[in-house]
Formats: sequence, structure tokens, C-alpha cells
Amino acid sequence: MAKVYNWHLGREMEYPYEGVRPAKQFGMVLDTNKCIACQTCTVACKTTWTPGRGQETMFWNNVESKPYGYYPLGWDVKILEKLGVQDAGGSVYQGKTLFDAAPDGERILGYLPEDADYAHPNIGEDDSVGLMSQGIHLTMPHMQWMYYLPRICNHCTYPACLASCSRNSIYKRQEDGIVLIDQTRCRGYRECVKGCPYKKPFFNSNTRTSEKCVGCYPAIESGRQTQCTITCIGKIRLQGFISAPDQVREDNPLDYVVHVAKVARPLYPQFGLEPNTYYIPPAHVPPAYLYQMFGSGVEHAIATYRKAMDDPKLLGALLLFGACKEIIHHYKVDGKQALGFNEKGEELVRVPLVEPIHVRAVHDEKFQAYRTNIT
Amino acid sequence: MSGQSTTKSSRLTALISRKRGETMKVKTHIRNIMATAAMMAVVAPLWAADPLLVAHKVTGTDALGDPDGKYWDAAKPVKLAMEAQTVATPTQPTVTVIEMDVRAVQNGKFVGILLEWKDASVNDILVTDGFGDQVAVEMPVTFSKDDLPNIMMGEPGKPVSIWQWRAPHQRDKDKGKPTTEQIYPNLHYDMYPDKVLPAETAKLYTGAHGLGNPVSDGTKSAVMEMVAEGFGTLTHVGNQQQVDGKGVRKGETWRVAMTYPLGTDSGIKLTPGGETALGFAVWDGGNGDRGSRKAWSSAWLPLKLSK
Repeated sequence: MAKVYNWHLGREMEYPYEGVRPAKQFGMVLDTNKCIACQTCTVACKTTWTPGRGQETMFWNNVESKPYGYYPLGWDVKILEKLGVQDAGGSVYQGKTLFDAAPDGERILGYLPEDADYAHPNIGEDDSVGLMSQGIHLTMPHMQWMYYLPRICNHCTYPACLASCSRNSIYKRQEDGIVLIDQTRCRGYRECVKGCPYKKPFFNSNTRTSEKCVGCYPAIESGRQTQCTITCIGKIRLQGFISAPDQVREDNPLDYVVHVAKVARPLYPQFGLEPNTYYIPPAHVPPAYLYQMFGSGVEHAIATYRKAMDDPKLLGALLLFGACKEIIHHYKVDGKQALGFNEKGEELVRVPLVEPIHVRAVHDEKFQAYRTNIT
Repeated sequence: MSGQSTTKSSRLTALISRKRGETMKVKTHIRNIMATAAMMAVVAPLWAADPLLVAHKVTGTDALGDPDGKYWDAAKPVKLAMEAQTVATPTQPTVTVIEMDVRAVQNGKFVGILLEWKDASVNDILVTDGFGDQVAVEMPVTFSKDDLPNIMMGEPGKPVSIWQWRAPHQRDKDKGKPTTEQIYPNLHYDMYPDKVLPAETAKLYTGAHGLGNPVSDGTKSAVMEMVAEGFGTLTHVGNQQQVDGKGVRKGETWRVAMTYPLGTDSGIKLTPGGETALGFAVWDGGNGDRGSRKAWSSAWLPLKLSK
């Protein structure tokens, strides 16, 4: 095992291969507060990549309700239970990663889902943690709660799928950090399906190989954001490239949201994979649950998110979510607008920090009618 | 001509190197190299005269890949002890197949190898948690009695040829490839690309199958011919495949025959009167065996072809 630095854990950890960060790293930020589980992303991904035979229950992108929705069934609670209670230890994680916890003869602690675990991709939809009794009113955080968690492959810095593959069929691209399964080399052992704690490689019973989210690499190569990002009607996603913490660029909206403002957190960082999709935690959910799912810093993330209006740079970055199809490499806030630029510095989009408000009279004199909506 | 003088061995090595180069952009081989080094220390290639597998001459000129062929009757089986693979990760500490019978025959044109082992359940449908029964024979691409490759998948510069029979491939060959509807009888699916798109466009949605990955389709042959130079390097030989074979059930036993031409210009050079060494592996799909999770024979078995 080699020693690699995982900034999510704040420490070095063991990984089967040497740590080599790619020239650029595919990244995504998702605002869970804005997701309504319309599944437009799921359908966009499905029709683009997985409509074929053997892919019937395969969703590279899925949106599940938390805490009781899962795809595949129980994916996170099963691996959390196997890993056992760990010492989170604050800013430096003191517990075991899945690599540390590998049983004898295995490369990682994992489990292979049952085939039927994929049969109900939207199981647990909208289930909340309990019933609301008559006459009750909501307080924050909510006493009964649920929220939506959209998920793709995390294109991890230290991918468990790549580490698990016994025949070197999985590789991480140097140019963008996207993790791919070579479909000419895969022999369908399902070690990646077993090893990935996020369960984002899937077995295809027709091709008899494992397949996974390809990060829409043809789009990325031509400077465009992924299908799940550009089709999102709630504009909850921003896809681009995320820097390592020692190379943060404040004019990269992903870097600003993740590294500077620290309002977005990785999913289950304790697994030790350094996943590269980041989530703005749901503001209404009890911190104890969020702490387990997003690690330390969730309370800071929520507090900062609530005050985004006070930080024009953060507000500007958040408003660039879903603002254009192209990847935004640079951005700036200019007066009352946020401007996004491509890699060459050409302007892609500008959005107002505050939408103009027009107030109409309650009573329309011409039609002699009362308006119910005046803004 | 230089093209003809290029040995298959060197071409296959180049094939592996190319494939490896494509997929190893960031990865390193540290673990594999260490494991290979450890194995070379633990399992030094042995060349024992006993047991010895002899391929006696039988009549005819046809391929010897029929497990029901009469030509096996005269062949004396060698009983192999199969062990749990616990050296290279991921391992399989508990295996269900602990012995296997091996026979060999040759007819001057082909060599045939017959493998028989007990496996109570047939596993020939592949789903996420369903694996297939398999068996494999391994031998050095270039045989040298005093310089045998590491029996565990060969080693750099000393490639091994591996012939693997798969039960799901045999099912494909016998009954056609199972459709999704056959695997999941209650499935309902709205639309497949091949129902609405021109064939060429629909092919884009067929993944490994459309790329010609041999694991996707067994209708051409139930056996795959591959080469390896160490852990993680196993590579199919593509259209250079010369091996073929067939597996049948006899009660609770799998009986699998594999056949290979003798005296060829390319590939494994086997001739009447010649010799090589064989390694074996067997997988019980019902036990979750696949890849390195298998039962294997830890010593080379000498094979002598009679004249």
C-alpha cells in the first residue's frame, strides 16, 4: 500500500496505488436545498447513456430520498454498518477508511449487492422520518424530515473501483480525472461493483461487463457540462473542475464554493475515496445525520449558505449554477452581476445578483379586477 | 518474410504491452510486482516426473474438442489437487472444487485436453450476484523445461497461454444468448435503441458487446484463448484464436474438452513427441468464484505428447 494525502480526511491514508493527481479534476457541486427529485437528470442520463439491453435497471445518475431512499437498496447503511462506528475526530479523521478496514485477502472493505437490490430504483421516495401529528408546526431543524440526494459517480481521487479491479481495466484520466472502465478489457468480475461504496459501477447482464458513469466525457472534452447538469430544471448543479486545496483559484466557482466559502461537502468522506462531487447540505436536517453523511463542517456550511446574500462572491458563484451549458472556468462579480468565463477567458454568461422586482397594483383599473399575484 | 518470422509469442507480448499502456495511465504496478516477487519465492516452478500427463495418439484428423468423443476412453486420467487461491488479492479462501481429473490425447493434427470435476449446481446465467462456472488450462507460450514462467499468470517476458471455458458461453452456443426477458421474465421495458434506431446507431448502445469483447458473447466459441504476463495482464488474442472446445453435464459433473492444432506456425508450438507444462484453475459460480477468486493447481503438470 502507498501513502496518499486525502484532504477530506485532513491526513495521509493508505491506497493500493501511488497518489497521482490528474492535471484537472472533474468536479460537481449540488445544492440539495434546491433539488425537488423531478428526476430530469436521471432521465437525461438514462436516454443518453443507458437505454440499451442489460441496462434496464441501471441509473448512472439517480435521485433518492434520504434517509429511507436507496439505490441500490440500502447501499449506504450496509457499508456504514460493515465499517462500524468510527472516531471522526474533528478536522482530522481518526477512524478507519474502507482501505484500512479491508479484510484479509481483500483490497477494500466492500459488499456485492443482490441483483434484486436494483429492482426498485426509487424505493423510499418521499418517506419522511416520522408522522406529523395534528396541529403541529415546523421548527428548524425539522422534527420530521427528508430530503433529496442526487447522485452520480464521484470520479474519486482515490477510486475504490480502480483499486478493486484485479485486472487493471479501470483507469483515471490524466486530463480530467474522469474514471472509466475499459469495455474491451473488463471481464465482468464485479470487483468494482463490490468495492465501490457508492455503488456506481453496475453489472450489465447483456454485455457481461461492468459499466459506470462516464462523466459525459465527450461533452467535457468539448467544454460542455454534463447532461445531468445542463438539463436540471432547478439549476441545482454546477459542473466544472475542482482544484486540490493547495492550488485553489478563487475565480473558479467550484473552488470558491468548496474551498473558500466551504458551503459544500463531500459525500461520506470517511470512506477515504476523496469523492469529487460536493453537496450543499440540506439546511432543515438535524446536524447529527448530516455529520455522518458529509463529515465535519456541515454546520459551518449551512450557516454560511444561509448568509450567502452577505458574500457577493459566494452569491455570484451560486447563481452561476445551471446558468449556461458550457463549463465555467473563471468567474467574477461585477457590480450587480456575476459573470462566467470559459477557459480562454471569453464571457459565457452573466446573471443578476438580485432579480428585478416589478410590483403591480392590486386592482386592475382597466379590467376592473383584483390581482392575486402582484410581483 | 519478416512478418512470417515474427513469432506469435512476440506479437502477443506486444498486444499486452499496448493494452497495458492504454489502461495504466495513472496506476502503478507496485502491488502486482510485489505479489509476483513473493510468488516466485513461494512457488518455485517444479518439474516432477510424477504425476505426468501423456497425450497418447488416437486415430483420425479432426479436432479433439468433443467431451463425448470415444477417443477419451483410452486416456488415463491424472487426478489434480485444486487449492484455494489465497496469494493474490482478492482471494477465495473457501473453494468447493478440490480435485479435478485431466486427460489428454493427440491425433497428429490436434491435441485434446479433457477436464472433469464435480459441481452440483449449473451456474450459466450472469446477473449482478450470479457468477458462472468456468475452467482454464494454462501453459507457457514458449516452453523451456528449465525456465518455466511463474505458474500464477506468467510473468513479464515469459507469457503464458490461457484457454478458458465458460458455462455461460456454452449456454450461448447451445441455446443462443439469453435475452433480458429470459433472465428477468417479469421485466417490462419501454423501448430499446435497436427497436427504433438504424442498426449502426443502435450499436453505440451495446457497450462491450458492440466492441467485440469476447466475454459478451459465447455463440462463436465456448472457450477463450488468452495470454498473460502476470497478474492483471490477461488479454484475449482476438482473431488469432485457435482453441475451441465444449462442455457437457454428466450427472453432477462438468466434462469439458478443449482442442488446439498441432504443428502450427503461430501460437503454442505443440508437436507429436513434444512436451509442455500445464496449470489449471476452476471456478464454481455458485460459490461466488470469478477472476482471482478460484481454485488452482499450484504446480506445473508435465504434458508429454506421444509420437
